[in-house]
Amino acid sequence: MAVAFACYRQLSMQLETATHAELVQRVAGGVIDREVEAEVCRRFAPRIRLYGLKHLRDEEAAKDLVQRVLVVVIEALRAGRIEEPQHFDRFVLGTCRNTAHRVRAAEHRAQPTDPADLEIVDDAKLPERFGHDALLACMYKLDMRAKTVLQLSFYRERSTDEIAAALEMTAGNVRVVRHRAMLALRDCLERSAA
Amino acid sequence: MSTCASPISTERLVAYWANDLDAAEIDAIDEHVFACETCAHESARLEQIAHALRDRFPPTVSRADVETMRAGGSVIRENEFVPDNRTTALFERGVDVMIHRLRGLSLADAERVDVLVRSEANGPMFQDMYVPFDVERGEVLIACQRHFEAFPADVAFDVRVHHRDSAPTTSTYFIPHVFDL
Repeated sequence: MAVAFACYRQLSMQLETATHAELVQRVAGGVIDREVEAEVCRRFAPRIRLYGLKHLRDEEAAKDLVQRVLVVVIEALRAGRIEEPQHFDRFVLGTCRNTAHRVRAAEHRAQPTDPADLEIVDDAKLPERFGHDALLACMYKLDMRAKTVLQLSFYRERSTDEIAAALEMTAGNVRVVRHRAMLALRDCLERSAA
Repeated sequence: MSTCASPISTERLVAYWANDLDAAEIDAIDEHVFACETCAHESARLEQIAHALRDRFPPTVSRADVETMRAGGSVIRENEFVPDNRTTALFERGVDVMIHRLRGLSLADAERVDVLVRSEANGPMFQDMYVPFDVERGEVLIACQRHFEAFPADVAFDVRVHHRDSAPTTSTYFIPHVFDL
């Protein structure tokens, strides 16, 4: 058992460093390779989720997108339908774009995938969200202008030009303040979470 | 994690999450992130912050926000205040959010309303601009949340109304807070 575990660990580490093309080529020919599929999920689930958060702007819709895209990608892998293994990431992104477009067009959330169809999706670790108390404590440490720029950018969703006009700053200066404030907030929140 | 030969700058990633890029730039970042684990990781770190900022309720809320909080099970108490009148707000045990209705505002021709939250002794704490306002009731709603207990209790709210055809006006509400925990 110990030997099998060690082999599995070694194999997994090899997979982690494999190129996208190497992953695709390993399952070519209709083989079901759970380890490769798990590695595909580990590698792409967080990126698909990020895409969903950006373009669908909803946590649940992003989770559904991960499920739907990975089902299509893994079915394509098993069927040997990845024509350019070296551009596997583009295939995943293309699937992501098409699926998100369909979700938006239909204005409904994806049907949850049966867990038995794709158990390995659960291998993808999702990050913990920061608590409100921690955010407030870290926000309080920022100077007033930085807090206001973040508030207007992310909560009130005002454009950079609108923020610049309201705060009597240039648009370039708003971007600099926002960038620095985000980094300061990130450092503070990650320290408090550690 | 593999290293990236040409990483996306954090400035661009911040702009990506702040919706400050055009469609072509967004596509370029999506393509890079799908090919690059390092930049995907960095983008995820910034998304965490953007999400935290979007997900919270700010000090100033709309009536719809209040109903969302109520529907979510929050115990809410509402109270009313008028300008230039010092009135203590008691945050009672068992209450999740107090809604301060700052009344007596002339909002008929308001284009924009900003709220400055400050400690009378220590100065400004937060500024919220483009806040929701109720023209008919002439009020702005402040959501006082339990975790605000960490801040100074001698709170004053300066509500600045930007009118369409006249100079901005400012109304001040002095509301010392007492938390019964």
